[in-house]
Amino acid sequence: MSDVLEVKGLNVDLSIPAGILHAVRDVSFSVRKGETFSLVGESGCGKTMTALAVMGLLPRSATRRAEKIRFEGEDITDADDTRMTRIRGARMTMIFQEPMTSLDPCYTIGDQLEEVLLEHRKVSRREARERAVFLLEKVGITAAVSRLKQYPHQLSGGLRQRVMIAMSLMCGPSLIIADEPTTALDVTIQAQILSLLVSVQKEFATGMILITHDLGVVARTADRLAVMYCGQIVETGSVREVFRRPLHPYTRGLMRCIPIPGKTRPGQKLETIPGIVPTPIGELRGCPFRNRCFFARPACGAEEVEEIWLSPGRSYRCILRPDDVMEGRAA
Amino acid sequence: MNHAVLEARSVAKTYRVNAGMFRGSQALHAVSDVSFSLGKGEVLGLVGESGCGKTTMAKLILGLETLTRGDIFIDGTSIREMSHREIARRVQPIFQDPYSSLNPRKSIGSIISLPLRALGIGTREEWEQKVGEIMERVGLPPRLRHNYPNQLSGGQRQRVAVARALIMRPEIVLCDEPTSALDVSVQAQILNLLIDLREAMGLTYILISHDLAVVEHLATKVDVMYLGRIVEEGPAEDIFSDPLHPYTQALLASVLTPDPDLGLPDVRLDAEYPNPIHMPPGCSFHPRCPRAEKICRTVLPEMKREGERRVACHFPGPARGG
Amino acid sequence: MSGTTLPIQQDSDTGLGREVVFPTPGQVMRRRMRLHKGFIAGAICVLLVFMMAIFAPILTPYNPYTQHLSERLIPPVWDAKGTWKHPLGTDNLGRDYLSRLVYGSRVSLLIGFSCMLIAMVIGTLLGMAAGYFGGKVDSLVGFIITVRLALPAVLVAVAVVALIGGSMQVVILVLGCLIWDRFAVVLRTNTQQICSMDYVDAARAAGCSTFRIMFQEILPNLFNNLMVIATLEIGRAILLEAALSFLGMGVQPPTPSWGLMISEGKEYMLFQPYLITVPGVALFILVLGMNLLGDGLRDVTAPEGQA
Repeated sequence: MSDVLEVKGLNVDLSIPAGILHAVRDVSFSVRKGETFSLVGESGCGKTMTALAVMGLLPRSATRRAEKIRFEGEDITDADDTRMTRIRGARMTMIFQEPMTSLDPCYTIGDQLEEVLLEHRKVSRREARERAVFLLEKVGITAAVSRLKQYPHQLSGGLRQRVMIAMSLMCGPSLIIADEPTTALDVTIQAQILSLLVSVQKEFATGMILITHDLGVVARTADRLAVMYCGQIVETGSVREVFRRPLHPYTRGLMRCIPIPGKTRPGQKLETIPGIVPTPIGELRGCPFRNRCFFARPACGAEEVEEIWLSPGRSYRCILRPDDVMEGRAA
Repeated sequence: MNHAVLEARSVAKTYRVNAGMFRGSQALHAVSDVSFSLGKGEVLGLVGESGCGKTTMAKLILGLETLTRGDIFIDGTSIREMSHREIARRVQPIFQDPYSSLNPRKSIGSIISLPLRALGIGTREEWEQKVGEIMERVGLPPRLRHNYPNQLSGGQRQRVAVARALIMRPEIVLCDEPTSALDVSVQAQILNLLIDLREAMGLTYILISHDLAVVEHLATKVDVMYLGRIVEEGPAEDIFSDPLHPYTQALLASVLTPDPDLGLPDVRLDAEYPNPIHMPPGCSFHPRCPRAEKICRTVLPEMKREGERRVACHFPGPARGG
Repeated sequence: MSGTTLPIQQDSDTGLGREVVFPTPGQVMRRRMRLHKGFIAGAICVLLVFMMAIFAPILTPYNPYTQHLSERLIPPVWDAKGTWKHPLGTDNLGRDYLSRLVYGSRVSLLIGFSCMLIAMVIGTLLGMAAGYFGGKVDSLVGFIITVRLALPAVLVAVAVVALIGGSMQVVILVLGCLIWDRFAVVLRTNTQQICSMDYVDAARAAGCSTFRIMFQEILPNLFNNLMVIATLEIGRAILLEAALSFLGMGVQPPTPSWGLMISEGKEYMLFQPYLITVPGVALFILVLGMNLLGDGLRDVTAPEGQA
């Protein structure tokens, strides 16, 4: 099995005054070596919570329940914090959205990079420094040796994000989780950083989970994706399959509501998904999308909607048949 | 021939910033020599990345900052001669962040009616009525007028911002990244609303955005800014189908359309976005330009005009090679 | 998401998750007030003293100024020689101590609030001006604050009183003009933060005058911090007044003031300690209550997600 990560039946509940918020509901997916897997969805869909749950970084008010979480063949479903601390930063690393706040302003770049390696492996400071220089050059930072002595505030956003990528590679991880890595960056830098991520990932054969709300980023960067809505995965598949033939009405709605230069007619109104996302608190039944879905019928509210697998790796969570959705047959 | 509703002539804005403990203050040229004009009913897209000066232009047009040089004319009158209130009657903003653009201590009704109350237009009953009308116009249930911003979703808050901007029927609406902080599905709703209202109320928009897809969808005319200057201008279709300035070409190439058959674009821009305090000599884009020659490093390119298009480049033209 | 304000659920349960109704800022504050122990404790202490001040004539039949020279230095009722005729005893001039205490609370509260009000007006205006206008105005206000902080309040008050003479009005004025520094410093920073929000720009763009923006847009957002500082400054003012009166530089005898009572009792400290402990404990309770109230207000009005 070349699965770096296998997640089955992940649930995350957050305890808030209004009740129990079911942030992640019955989420299952797997990531292979060298593959870019994307978790796509809008704010509040649970994608970041899923990543934090896998990393063991959930807030204290959260409860995690999973049928199985396997990382590099090891079962980490009930791994305690000590064990996760050994894994985090070394074999499973995370790149966050805000390069401005991810680096500690009080320490040099070199210190922070070396610290990662020294924490997890028994190497000398010199070896750590060499590895830092090697990776800084890999991520396209020139004059790497002098950069080591610089402080984060002396670098621009794009450079800082490159440093974050280098930091995530210090111990040679088998899985990188990137949470909206380019959202806070300028457009011209975005493409460069994404290219960099994909190339280092392929070179080091790491798996990557790319969390984003930007369908353009997913289409151009990822190999496979899972669309999340209201805590659940509503569709999975390879990027080509899902973009060519979206099966879930939400996925379809998402793709049709973004303006695409060259495709959508300027000045024309866009198709929209009416209404707003419900908050998954308390008792939940049926399909969470049904109050906004064009195809909704009474059966949608009755019971839990199961994931339908058309083929290994291709699924969607809807009671409609694929052809109904594509041809727009309403209730 | 559209008579210009808004005209900027050689607008410049310089800030003095502290450049460090012992270096005293230095000049930050946020905007240098910007000129453009806008006809009624048009949508001008001001495009550029962070630090290009588009936000500063927005503040200058709204009268929130003072011009260092140059002038801005609204309907033929210079804003230097207009009072705050007169500017407010003509231009209203919609800001990016729906969480910071509404006063958390005020009710929705109070927020929307603020322009009316500040300018002393109408009576209390008229305010009530107008607030109700505009709320329905933008798709908000009027009963929400007694609620507070924290009780509304991001999309609803942005609609409140739209309502506030439009309640006085301004001529020009300045939209500063109106949908960047919203979810994708909500973006579409707000964009549609903006399109609707423009037709129904005969508005003129200035749309400031870094999201080129949104600009391409809404704008009739586009101005591309880089480090405080306009580098290219033209009708939206022309700019998007045939960009002439290398920076515009790089920008357009960086747009990631959701096409799974295309990989990542190979945008060749060397070096980082420079610090606006230390502007490169000559053409400010030359350190990153794939076409830079000797003249680019020393001489600031003049704006060349061809019909409705303008380019500030020594070597404008379609992208060459791969 | 609509910020991180605590939602209150409604009963509509359609299987699509509870419909959450987010409470108004006022509702959030009131709910938290009911749950915050420190706030409640502080409120009770302060309320007790308030009641004491308001209902003073009912609580004691004696006039605090009347001297009963045949009944001097009678200890309070818990002492062997005490009587219920004077539950808290009498002082060295035969004045009933309970009535001195109860009428003294009026003095303390009056001075505390008046000083705080003067300080609040001065400090708020300075702080808001500095935060809003920045630049030279900020530098000027900063200079004024620095000068003020370099002066020890008690010494300045003593000096002024020595020049003009002591009385309640003088004390109020002098202290009020000295303790505004916390208002100014905190509200300046607050105002700067608020000015970076888009709604201030939107108000300017809507044609609001500077006056309107400062008092209708910015001030309501400063209100929370203002209340916290106000309660803390009342406590500070009361203690300062007590100190001044103790030194004989504050309220003049025979006005009952807790500080003055302590001062007058210090000669008899060893054998009639109640002369000091009774007003001392009262001062302690009032200031403690004010501080608890202020801390509680800070917690209760803090935005979501912050300590």
